[in-house]
Parts: sequence; C-alpha cells; structure tokens
Amino acid sequence: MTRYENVTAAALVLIAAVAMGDSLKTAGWAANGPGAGFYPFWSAVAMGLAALVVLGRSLRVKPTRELFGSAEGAAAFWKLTVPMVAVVLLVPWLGFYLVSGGYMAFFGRWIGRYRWLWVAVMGFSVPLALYLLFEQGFKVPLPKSVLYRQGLLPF
Amino acid sequence: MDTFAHLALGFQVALQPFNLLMLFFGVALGLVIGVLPGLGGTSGVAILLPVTVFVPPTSAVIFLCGIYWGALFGGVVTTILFNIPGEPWSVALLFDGFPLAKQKGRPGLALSSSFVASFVGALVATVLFTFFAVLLADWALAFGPPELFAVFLLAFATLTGLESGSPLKSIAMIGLGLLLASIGFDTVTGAPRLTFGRSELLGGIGFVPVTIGLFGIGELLASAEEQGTLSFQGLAARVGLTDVLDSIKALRDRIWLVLGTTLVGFWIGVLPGTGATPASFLAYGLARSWSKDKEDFGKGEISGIMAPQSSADAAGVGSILPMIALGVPGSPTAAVIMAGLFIWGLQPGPQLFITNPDFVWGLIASIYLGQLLTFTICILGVPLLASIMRVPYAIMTPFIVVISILGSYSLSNSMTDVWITLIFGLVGFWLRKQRYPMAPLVVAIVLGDSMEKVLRQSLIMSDASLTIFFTRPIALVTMIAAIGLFALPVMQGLRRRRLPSRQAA
Repeated sequence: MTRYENVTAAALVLIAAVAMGDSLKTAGWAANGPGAGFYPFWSAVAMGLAALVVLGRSLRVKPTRELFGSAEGAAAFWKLTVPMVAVVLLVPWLGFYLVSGGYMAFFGRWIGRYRWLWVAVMGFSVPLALYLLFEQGFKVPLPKSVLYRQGLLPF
Repeated sequence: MDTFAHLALGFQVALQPFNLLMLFFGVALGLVIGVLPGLGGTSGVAILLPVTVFVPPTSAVIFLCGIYWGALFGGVVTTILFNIPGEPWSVALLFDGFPLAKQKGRPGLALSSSFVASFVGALVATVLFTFFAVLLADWALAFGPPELFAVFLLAFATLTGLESGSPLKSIAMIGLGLLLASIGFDTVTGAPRLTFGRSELLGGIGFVPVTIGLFGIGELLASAEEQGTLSFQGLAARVGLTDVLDSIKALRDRIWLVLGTTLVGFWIGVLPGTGATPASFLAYGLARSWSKDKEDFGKGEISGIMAPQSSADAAGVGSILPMIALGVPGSPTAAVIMAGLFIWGLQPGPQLFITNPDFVWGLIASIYLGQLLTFTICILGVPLLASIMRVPYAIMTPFIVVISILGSYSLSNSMTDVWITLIFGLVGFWLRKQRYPMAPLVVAIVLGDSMEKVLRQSLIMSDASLTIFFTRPIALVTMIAAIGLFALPVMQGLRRRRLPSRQAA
C-alpha cells in the first residue's frame, strides 16, 4: 500500500465528480430518448462509487511503500521517459525520420554502448524501413522536418 | 447437397492462381499488420481498401478477408512475446500468454498453442458458416438492442471477476473507460460531452492511441522500473517440433473447452456489431470459471490462451456471415469489408447468393484456404517470430517506442493522438503501480460506443423502462448470467474480509 494509492483513488473520485457535473444537465430523458449526458453520468456514478470504497479502504491502512520500488527502478523509469517525451516534442520540428533515426542511434550508443558503425546502422535502417512500409506501402505520409518544408532536405 | 455443389464451385473460383495470389498477399500483410501494435486489422483493411478497385470483386474480397485472417492470427505475436497487444482482440491473451512465455520460459509453446486454437476455432466456424448460414443468420436477426446490451454487460461482468485483484478497481476502470469512450460529440444529439471547451476532444479520443499508451508504453515503463535495469531478462526462445506437438497434446486435453468457446465466439461474431474482441474476453472468463484450477490462470495456463484465441477467430469468421447474407456487418472489420462491396457495385444481402454465387461461394471457399495458409505460415514462421526475443533491449525498446508513436499517429495523421499515447503511457504506468487492472479499462473504451447505442435503443423501445432487459427471454437469461458474474467476486471479497485476514491488504 502506498500513499499514492490514496491519491489515485481520490483522483478517480474527482474525475467522476467532474464528469457527473458536466453531464448532469442532459442526464435525463430528452425528446428522442435518453439525453446526451445519460450514459456518461451513470458511468461516472459507477466509477465514483467504486473509487470511493477503494479510497475508504486504503485510508485505513498506513502507507508503507513509495512510488518507485528502488532507486535503480526510478533511474530506469526516467531514462526511458525523458527521451520519449523529447521524441514527441521534437517530431513537429525535425520530422519523424530524423527523430526516429536519432532516437534509435542515441539509445544504441547510450544504453547499448554499441560501436559507432552499429549505431549508424540502427540510425539509418529504421527510418528507411519505416519509409518503405508507411510512405510507400500504406501511403501514410509521416511528419517531415522544418528543413523539408524549406526544400533543404528530402525528408 | 446443394451446399456441396456450391462449395465445389467456390473452390474452383478460390483456387484460380490470381485469387490464390491475392489470398497469400492478404494473409501475409495481415500477419504483419497483426504483429504491429497500433495498426489494427480494421485500419489495415481500411487503408488497403482503395487498392482493391483495380482487381475483380471476388479477388478483392478474398484479399481483404485474408488480411483479417492474418491479423487474427498475428495479433498474438507481440502479445505473447512483448506483453503488447497487436490487436484489441488479443488483449485477453496478455493474462496467460505472456506469463507462459516469460515466467515459464515457453514462448514457442505459447505461440503454437494460440495458432492451433486459432486454426481449430476458425475451421469449425467456417464449417458452421458453410452449412448453417441461412439458419444462423435468421436466429441472430431476432436479436434486438436489449439482447445486445445484455451481451455487452456480460462481457464486463466476466472482466470484473477476471483480475485477481480488487473487483472494485475493475469497476472503477470500466467506468473510466466508458467515460473516455463518451468524450466528444454525442452522435445522437450532437451535444459535446466532457470536452471542457477543447476542440481537439470534439472528435473523441481513439481507443488505439489509448491502448498503445496503456499497454505498450505503460508496460515498458513498469517493467523497466521493476527490474531496475534497461535490459531484457535474457529470454532466449528456441522453438521446435516439441512445442507444436505439446500444443496439440494440450489441445487434445482441452478439446471440449476449445469447441465450446469456438461456438460462443461464432455466436458473438454473428451478432451484429460485436466481433472478435468481446468474444475473446468472454471466452477467457468462461475458461476460467469452468476450470477446476482457477489459481493457474494469469500464470501461463494454456486454457487461458486457447479459449480466447479460438473464440476470437471463430468470431472473426462468424462476423462475415451476417455481412454477406443479410447486409449487416458482424464486426467493425466486416463493416469496412462491406463498404468495399458497395464500392465494387455489389449489394450485400440474400440476393447476392442468387445474383453472384461465384462471389459468395468463392469467398466461403477462400476462408477454408485462408485459414490453412495462415496456420501453415504461422507454424513455419514460429522460430522466426519467436527469435524477436533475442534482439537486444537497446534496439527493441526504442523500436517499440517508435512503432507505438507511429501506430498512433498513422491512424488519423494526428500529433494529438501521439500525445494521447504518451500521456496514457504514464497513466498506465501509474495505475499499474497502484494495482489497477488495465484490461477492463481498455475493453470499456473499445465497447463504450456500441454499448451506449444499444442501451439508448433499448430504452427508446421500452419508453425509459429498464424492465425491457428482463422481459425478453434471451435478454433475461444473459442479464441473469451477467448480474451473477458481477456479484460473484464481490460476494467472495466480502466473505474473505469476514474471515480472519490472512495478510494485511
């Protein structure tokens, strides 16, 4: 049991309350059947009641554990999360191909400690394969870089 | 006798070299699509639909259905090897497929068990399709919204008892999933719901970006945090004839279970709207409640792989039946294929059996060939597929992240979906750490819209009276089963709490 258990249950109760408030006005019977808010309202009621009982139970137990199991665990979590957020932030600027290639190469060098040749292979092959599969195969255009929009790069 | 003559004609059509080639392409692409998380069978069929205008309708429908069969088989690969569902209908495979591969160290057995079950389910369903087509379609037509609502409720009821943790947490997750599904414009009244003035949310949030986040990214983060290192746990997979033989032996021990879940899956598939996804969840719940050793479930029990997988494939085959015979798609994928029929200038429905027998029976014959082809490719490809486990963590992890982002982006070319994936990845990590089950959440998001639709239709039919669910015989029986399943874990939980506690919460 962690103190975050209480936070989570409380957050679910809060979400349910907000959703009930949002849908209350139209939760009744409209001219052509149940109103727009009927279904979300009762879904929120079920969720809120269940979360309330979970909260009530977890409040009676003394918190003993922290969110992360260990310092190593926390480090592993952040090592994965930070580059991932960076990728999503960078895609609108650098396009999908540059970012995915850079991300693969970065991971191979940083976590895998591979030789530069292998890093380069990772960095090139993945965007190329994705280009062939998505852009050519499925005809799904992926986001391109700022340089592409200025005509300086083909991707 | 007439059926046999028609089927012979169908095989003549389906065995034409070009149709065989189209079937092979369809199945191969379906397997790739099935393995890629985020690119589902339904969207795969939709993306490739425009291509089919260049070929004759029979070849086109054989191609599109081939994608469906491939995706039905292939969705299990990433589910079992990486704990990431390749398809929504393979989510139920997470509970026992991944543990069998990882904790028990039998990825080959887990895969071949699912393939064998898929094959049996699909084959039995195809035979049923062939011989009971008209009869079964008539029966399913008698189902109205109240019966369908009861079936949805039953699917949720089985989910509540499914997780070994708190049933209350399951119910909270079902509620959250239904809420997430209802975000955006209400399709009936046009009113925006739960959007809080954000225009990005008006179109609703897709279940695929959410699912990729909750399962793909969330699991990646949770397992890295638990292990404390960024490396795979040295899981090497060697798959051979032993695994295939073991899985056939396992199938022989469970043949009645698999045949039962196949029938259930086929029945759910034939029902309009509901496809392989609820069928697989229902089958998992049934397998667990029929089993004498419930403790084994969630730890790599083969029944937990074979039951949902046979049911999902039977439902996939079954969902084509009402589409072709009545013009009512049995699943979202069947709905996309039906859109193809209109594009090719065909009118789905009973008339099709008279005006285009070569199309109808060619399709039916191609289902037999398609399942055989898919099964063969899968069994021969098992060593190749399982060898993915040997790829180092520093390559596989960023690759999974890239594919996840790509999958959620490519559905509607939207960076908002990518953010949804990322946010739900973190939410999934957090909820996992607090021991909230992910499966009810995802299922509720997937089924939310259809469930609301049938609930509304039911209440309009009955003029706002809930008695409609208890006055129609089929709905009544299903509702009683659902309520019983909901009550069971709650009652057990209460009884356990009254007994002297074995351990502190």
